[in-house]
Amino acid sequence: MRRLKTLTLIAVMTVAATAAAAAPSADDYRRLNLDLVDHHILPRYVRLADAAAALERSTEGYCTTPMGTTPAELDQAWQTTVDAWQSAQHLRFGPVELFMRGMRIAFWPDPRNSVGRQLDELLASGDPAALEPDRFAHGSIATQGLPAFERLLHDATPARSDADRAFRCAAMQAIAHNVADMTAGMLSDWRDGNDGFREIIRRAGEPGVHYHTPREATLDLFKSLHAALEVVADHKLKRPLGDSLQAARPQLAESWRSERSLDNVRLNLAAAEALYLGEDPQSEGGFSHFVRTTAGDTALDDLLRRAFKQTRATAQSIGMPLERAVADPAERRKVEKLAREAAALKALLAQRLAPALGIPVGFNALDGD
Amino acid sequence: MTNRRRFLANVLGLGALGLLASPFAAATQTAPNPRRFMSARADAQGRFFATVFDDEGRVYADVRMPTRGHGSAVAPSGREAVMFSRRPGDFLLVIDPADGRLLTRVTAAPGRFFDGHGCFVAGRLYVTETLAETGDGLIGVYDPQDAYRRIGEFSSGGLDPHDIRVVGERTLVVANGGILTHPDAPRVKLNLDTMDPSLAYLDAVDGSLVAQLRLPPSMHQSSIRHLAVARDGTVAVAMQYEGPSTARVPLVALHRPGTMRLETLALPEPLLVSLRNYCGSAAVDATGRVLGVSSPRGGLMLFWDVQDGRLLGSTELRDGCGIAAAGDEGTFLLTSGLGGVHRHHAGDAGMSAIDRSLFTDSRWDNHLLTL
Repeated sequence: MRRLKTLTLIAVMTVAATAAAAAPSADDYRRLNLDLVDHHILPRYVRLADAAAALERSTEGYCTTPMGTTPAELDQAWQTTVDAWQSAQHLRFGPVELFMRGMRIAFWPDPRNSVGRQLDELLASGDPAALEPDRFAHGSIATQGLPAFERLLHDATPARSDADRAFRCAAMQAIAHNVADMTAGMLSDWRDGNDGFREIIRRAGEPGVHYHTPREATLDLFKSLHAALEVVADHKLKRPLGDSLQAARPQLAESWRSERSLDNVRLNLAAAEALYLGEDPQSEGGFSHFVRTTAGDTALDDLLRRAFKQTRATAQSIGMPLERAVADPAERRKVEKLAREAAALKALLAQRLAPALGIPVGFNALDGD
Repeated sequence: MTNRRRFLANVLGLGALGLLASPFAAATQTAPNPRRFMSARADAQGRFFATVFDDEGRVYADVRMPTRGHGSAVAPSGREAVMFSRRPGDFLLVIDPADGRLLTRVTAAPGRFFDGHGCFVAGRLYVTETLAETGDGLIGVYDPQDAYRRIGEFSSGGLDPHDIRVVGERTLVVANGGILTHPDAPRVKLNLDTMDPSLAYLDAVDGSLVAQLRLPPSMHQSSIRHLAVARDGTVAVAMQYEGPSTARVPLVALHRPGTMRLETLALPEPLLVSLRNYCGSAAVDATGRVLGVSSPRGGLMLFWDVQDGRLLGSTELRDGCGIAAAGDEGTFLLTSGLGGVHRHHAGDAGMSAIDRSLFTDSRWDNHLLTL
């Protein structure tokens, strides 16, 4: 607790002394960007595309081959895909923005229950044409991704008939195919060709390229890091916590049906830490290396490393699924502590890391209105 | 006026617009009463305020707010000013802009939240609001003569009403941003696939929808959010694009009186890229002829001649968002979320900061109002 206060205190001290260092060069930013693209972003999209392809095969086996795939195997394939998504969800720029892929892969938060309402509509229609890949991908976005799959897997009302059961399976196949298609597309759009997004980041600063300077691409990477903590603190934890034990709202947790909301948070925090540290702490990559060497602020790097470590340890200490922990007097305190630490870390990133990177983020630029 | 400024101004055609030749300009520069402005801000400790100040560095009101403020409005008398809480907001403050006295605090009606903007017309205060359960846009009507009691509401004509202005005697013009939200996930956008933004004209007295304009269907993800009204009744629209950040779409449009279409303003590619698909605020100068639009994400302010839609110039200001008329023709006051209040003349290369620690140390919110 005392440590948390220290963190919070430092977070609000905007005039903390920073080591005098020369302004980072375009090459410094480019090196940072490419290290993170090659060692953080691309491997995560490879894992996601592989997991989604396996889910598509598994769903097909489950639906079309008797005894081909067990329900447990199907669930495992779905869990692996969600793990991979939760480990890449913080990357919110580039190919994930195209065709609203991010929202179509996982429509969340969903306070208006769009997934449930639109899935019910789809199931009630029983219309096989609605599952045809092109039409499905252009239909309502809430039914296209992993949360809809979760409902079919973990929260389905009993099938009314054999036809209904077959249609539900066909819907799972349509979702799995759609997610596999989008994740393969994202990977290809990052990796392949002269207009791949890796190439756009490498060529930042050249005439006609999306990024006027390599620093602008670093800003997008920073915003992904910041958003990771923001989503965890403000949405994934704060909303199910509610204002008090009595006002806890477990069903606002991200994956309460499969009771994996806490796993999601742990993966999000691990991904954020990996983005900060670089994927190999021994290598000369990641924001951490940039802060230590280019910005010359080892004290800040030490502080951020401690903050990530402590926040992840708190997440690890929670001894039951999030959707139960928020309503449990003892475990709830740990969730509250985690929410405070994630919020403090978010503030540290905006108020200390951004200036150290030479990209001070303003009052209006990060969260507009 | 420096030669450089005159040179730049001539290059940009400001001379032809009469911005340099105005005898009025010299008179207002020496006016005994400095111009006053109102904005929300946060201080270095992260505390929120509603602040009234002038362009010589004096502060008249500095009212603590429990949460962040957003837009503001001033009564025609000039004796009452309103600061709206940021969306989803649950209160508004009425203050005396001369001394910061809190006159009234209004809480959002049950099941509704404030969207952050409002305006006075025909003896009433009109406020953009959202019905939380459905996301439907509303205009709440408040009576300044009766402690700002809420005396009615009517539909805004769309989802997510944001900025609101008055044209003529009793017509409201509302920016319906078109984005669906819900208080259980504050500020998260829930309908980017089916957005339907519009510019709606409403009769302030009976609430009827007078006219409604939309952009072509291909631009349905361009959220219409902020407005400025020029002297000739032209309504300028500043937009925020919710599609891919690599896409290039127009971000500023004009609706000219007597027409039924939104005319988008083109920009040279490098400038358009710089705006990062996001405009934060709009204002016209004191003559009602020069339009200024800010892009905090691009760190850029752009200026147009309203009459012919010609770009007059731009100036860089990191996280610059607040913009308001500052007396002279083509002159604006600009504020930044990273701190700082600056005077700028459209067409000039630079700007001059007003030297006061409260100004430079504050994180200024998106909007600045000329009182």
